[in-house]
Amino acid sequence: MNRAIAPLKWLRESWLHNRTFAIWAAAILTVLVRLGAGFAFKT
Amino acid sequence: MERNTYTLDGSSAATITEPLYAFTVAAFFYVFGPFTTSAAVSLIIFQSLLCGLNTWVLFILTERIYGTLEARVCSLLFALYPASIFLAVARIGPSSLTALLLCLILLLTLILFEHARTGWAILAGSLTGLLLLTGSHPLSLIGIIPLWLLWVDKNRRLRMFLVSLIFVASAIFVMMPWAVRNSLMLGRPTMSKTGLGSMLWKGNNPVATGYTQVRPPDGGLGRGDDVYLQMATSWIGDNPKDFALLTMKRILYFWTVIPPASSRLELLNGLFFMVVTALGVFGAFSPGERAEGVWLLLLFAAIFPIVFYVTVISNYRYRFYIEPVMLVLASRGIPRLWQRVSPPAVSFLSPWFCRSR
Repeated sequence: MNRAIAPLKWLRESWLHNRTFAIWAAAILTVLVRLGAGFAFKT
Repeated sequence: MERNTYTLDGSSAATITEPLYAFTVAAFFYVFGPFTTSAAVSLIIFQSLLCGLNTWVLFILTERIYGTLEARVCSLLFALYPASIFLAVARIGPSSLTALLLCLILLLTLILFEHARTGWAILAGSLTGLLLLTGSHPLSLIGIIPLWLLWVDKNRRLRMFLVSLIFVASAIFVMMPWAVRNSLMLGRPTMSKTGLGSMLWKGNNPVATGYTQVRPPDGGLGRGDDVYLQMATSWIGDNPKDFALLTMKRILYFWTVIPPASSRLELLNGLFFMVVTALGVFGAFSPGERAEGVWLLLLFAAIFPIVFYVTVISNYRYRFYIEPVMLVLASRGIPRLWQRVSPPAVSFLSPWFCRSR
């Protein structure tokens, strides 16, 4: 159980305390979500 | 030009479309071939990357206005915001670029307020010129930004007046080549595009509903724009009550759902926007110190839609200018609401939340 939660904890901590990580994570997520939606819905 | 897109009957360039994104699409067509799948995929990737850049800009903009927590919330909201996803991947259009340019201009305006230097004014003005060459709807920015600068900094009014002049002059300078071209084409002074007269007529005529698109007899090519302007103003003069009623309807449509909402997705999109707007209003007017930047966003949200209140709101992409602004305001509303409804959840985040302004 702890093994499964550890990456999530790391993700949360990094997002909360590391500014560079928070910006890059959001920017990459933005692009991936759009590309994913584009391919999923075959736009 | 080859397929008579952006032309006047296929013979010469028209003035009904802003040029910047048309030229961007033309560049992709030149490289990947006109209307090919590879050109479409490349444009979708390009628009997605513009959104990625905008996430970055929104993060910094929100951080300057509110603080670190709100910046994180806003960037995540934008990453998952349905209207932005739809306009980036389901439509080849300027929306992603206009949103990026608008957020950059708002960020540069905040920097200009802190460091009233000529260079920042020229940069903000030039980007405003580029934005108006991409989408002319936020033309009101040319007035909003100087108004805000003069309003918030009462101690340096002369300095703010000078940087405002430089800002406006830079925007006009960037638009000038296209304005000269349009004016020569039409034989009368014209800025980035024509169409305000026909938009006013589409929104204000005997069969207008506030959202209907009545196609003008000339196909809306911009030649008879002043005629439509006269027709619309005379109709408004003769029917002031109908105009007032239509304006009230358009205000409602702008901030909710544009009828006829034909799909569940449209209704869902309207619902998302209303929730974000409610959170934005809650964030902007919740008790506590209000940063000057909040007033800039509120001023934009109050003035920008007026052009749609008096003409016609027929498509959601016209509203997309306001949505990143609402996300910034909502990024304050969400933690504030969370603070009210769930004290345990806030105590979990509190050491870090306290650091944000």
